Amino acid sequence: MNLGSVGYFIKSSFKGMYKNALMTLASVFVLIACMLIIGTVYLTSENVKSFMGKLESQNEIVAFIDDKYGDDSLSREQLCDKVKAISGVLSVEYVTKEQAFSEYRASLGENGSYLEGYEGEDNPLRNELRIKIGNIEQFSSVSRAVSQMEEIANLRDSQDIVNMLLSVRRTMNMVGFWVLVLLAIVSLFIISNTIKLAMHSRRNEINIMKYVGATNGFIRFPFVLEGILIGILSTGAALLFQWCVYSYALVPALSQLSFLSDTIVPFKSMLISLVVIFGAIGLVVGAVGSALSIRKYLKV
Amino acid sequence: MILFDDVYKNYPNGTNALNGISFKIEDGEFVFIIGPSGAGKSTIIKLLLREERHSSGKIIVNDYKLNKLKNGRIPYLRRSIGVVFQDFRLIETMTVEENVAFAMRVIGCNSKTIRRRVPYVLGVVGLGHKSKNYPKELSGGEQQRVALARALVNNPKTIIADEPTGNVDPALAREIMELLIEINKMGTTVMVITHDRKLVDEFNKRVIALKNGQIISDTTGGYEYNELG
Repeated sequence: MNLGSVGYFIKSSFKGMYKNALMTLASVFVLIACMLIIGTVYLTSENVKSFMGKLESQNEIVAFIDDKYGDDSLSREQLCDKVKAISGVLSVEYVTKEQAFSEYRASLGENGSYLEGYEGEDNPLRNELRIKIGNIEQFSSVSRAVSQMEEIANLRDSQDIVNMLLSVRRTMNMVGFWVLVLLAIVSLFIISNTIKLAMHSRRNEINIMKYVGATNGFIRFPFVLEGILIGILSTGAALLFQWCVYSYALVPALSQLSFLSDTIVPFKSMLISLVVIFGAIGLVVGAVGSALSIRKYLKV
Repeated sequence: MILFDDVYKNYPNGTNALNGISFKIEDGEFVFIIGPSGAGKSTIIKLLLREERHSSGKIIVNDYKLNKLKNGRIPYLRRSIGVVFQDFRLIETMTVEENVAFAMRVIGCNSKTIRRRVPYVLGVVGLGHKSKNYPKELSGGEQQRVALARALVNNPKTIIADEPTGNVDPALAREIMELLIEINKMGTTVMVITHDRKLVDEFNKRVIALKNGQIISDTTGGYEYNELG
């Protein structure tokens, strides 16, 4: 292939897009729509992940120690080591009931005075263990193991919230994947049809090319390039639209939920992933769509 | 050299387009292939260009053995043959010179070679002054010559002209034939497919006459009209 041919390919591809402007635009819009849906699913899933991350960093199981167990330093150390041995436990902190009481009083602020009279011997609280989990996926198993320890009277965890978030994350991953596959197939179908129409209108040209001895690769290349150009054009436009959708629709909506407002992921930090996702969809769908649709016209 | 040795072409619908035809055309020859509709003339072109595969027999075209030719080699076979189609098959959106250059471009020639070769070939067919015109602005004879220029531009070993005089008046038909003879004199093998007996009579060339997929005569100068029926 020489430079003249490269020039011919590029010129020919642009000419093809211009001549079939309506179908080119239709392909671009369909691809943009597909990319936006996929992108929105991706961005939402990233925000859920970010929220999960926050929850993971905060999550802890508070295990209350049965009063019949001693709280001398040896017993404390042994108990902590026992808990640490459970798979998934990141750290364990022993909090005496006196510490817990003063923390509780501090958390009540001005209303702390309501607790007067419950200090010392009358402290109703128990000694406790504050257990942090490394991976939220192991939350449930750690919680179960700790609750089964004889030293533990009862425990407090946010199991329900964790379960809900895990289920949301798994669902989003699965839905995101199938939406991506489905939309990629739809895009592939539409792009192939668009290019098929372009080829139909140029079948005379393709026919002559075949008779004068052009190789299939030479004939196919401008059409594949056309598909790739449509893919690139759609990727650029979709990124712009995605930014608008995220900044002006998704972020304001997520900000309404107070527990999410400080975990919203900035668009910039997801830009590279989006470029990769959109670029891959655009290039693969464009190139494969063209390559598939030209086969029929090469049989001369 | 073109060789057909006991070639059959049978279509799945039961039509036997060629029934064991054999002929040999040496390099630099000028041959008319004549016959009525359905005689097998178009099938010969299709087989030569490997648009269709023959059912049995042996075909060699310009050193390409079509029995063994792989699909990837078909473009190279076709580059050795220039075809002038009856309906010209010019691209309406391209000028005369672009139509001719297109044939060079698609086989990967560089721009410099194209710029040098196209005006020369257009000069050979007498259309140098119409290079910027579009096909619609040309007469039938001129369009025919553009098609001939396009067939010639890649310097093929063989030129096949399918009914070259079918769409033009007798004066132009003669002009085109003389052009083909000139091209033949430069060493290119020329095959003219026609059913125009008067045209054939004017030139004392080899004539292969076909009827019902068989060769009924292969002579140089003079053949029996009655044989064609």
